[in-house]
Amino acid sequence: MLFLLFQLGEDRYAIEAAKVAAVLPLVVPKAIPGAPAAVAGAFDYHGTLVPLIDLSQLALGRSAQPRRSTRIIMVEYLVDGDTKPLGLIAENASETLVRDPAEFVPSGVRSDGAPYLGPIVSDSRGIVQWVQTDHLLPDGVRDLLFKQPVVS
Amino acid sequence: MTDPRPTGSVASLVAELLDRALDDAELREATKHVARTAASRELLTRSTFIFRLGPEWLGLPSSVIGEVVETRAIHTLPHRREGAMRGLVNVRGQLTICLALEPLFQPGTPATPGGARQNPVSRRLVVVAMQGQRLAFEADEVHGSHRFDPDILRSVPATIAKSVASFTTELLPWDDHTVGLLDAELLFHALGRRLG
Repeated sequence: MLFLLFQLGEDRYAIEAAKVAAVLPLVVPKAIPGAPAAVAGAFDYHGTLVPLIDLSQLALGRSAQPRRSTRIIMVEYLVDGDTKPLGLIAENASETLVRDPAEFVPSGVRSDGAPYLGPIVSDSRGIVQWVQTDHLLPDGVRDLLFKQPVVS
Repeated sequence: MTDPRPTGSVASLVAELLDRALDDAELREATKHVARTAASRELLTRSTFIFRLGPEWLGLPSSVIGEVVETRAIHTLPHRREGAMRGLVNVRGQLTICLALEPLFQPGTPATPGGARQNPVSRRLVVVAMQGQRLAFEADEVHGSHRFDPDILRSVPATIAKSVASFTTELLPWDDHTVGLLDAELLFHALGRRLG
């Protein structure tokens, strides 16, 4: 299975490539006033407004560095059986990893604050943790981004 | 501090390059690029390989074109003066059957066209790879691959010469010319029969 690697701080994380719709360069998003800090805003993706989550802000509480290697990973986020496009700002998103999912072992630590952190695998450069994109957003943020009140 | 990446390798050079800070202009440019709508980007969905045979500009699906090389000596085969076969050519050491397309489009033209000597500079050998088979033919001129919006295609007028129409599926306006897009499968099937 192919994984896309990125970094949170000094540590490496992986998203399965099958979940990734596209990898885009960093853009200037339109801010969403009043949204939690992890919501970087929304951006125009070929004419569609797509919400943008800053993974560094979500996990570490600091913004991603504006570098060339910082990219937007487009994923299809599962909301009530429906998928919606979601952009994730990830640092150092420039490498891939091929691993059998069976090689990943449970990390042994469950973090209630970060339910998206999955099993781990190690290679010559250290440990890589699998990020489960379907559990990425806290309920409050998910509802804010995808459950718009129905205007009748 | 030690860098976990192998030093001096291409990977570390790339990593260094990608580690550069982005300035506002680059960010704005990327924002504009990502925002570009499908209308300007995704319509050029089909690609055809444009070449010329005599007065006729023709197109084959780019997917069947293997390579385009300089013309070279064609080794004729004995007892093969009829039909579409011109002989064998050496492409990277591989003997490839060279066909003549001209007789299909201009009935009455010999398989060895006199035009070959008129303008040798622009003549190219086009190698087609189809269904695991490699075939070659000579084109008087090669433009190369051309992407286009399928919406601009026109249907083939009923009055067009029957020989061309039987392989031409659509007409593509291109600069001042009209390119006849050929049905590759039909064309090479017909050529295969003539090889007999």
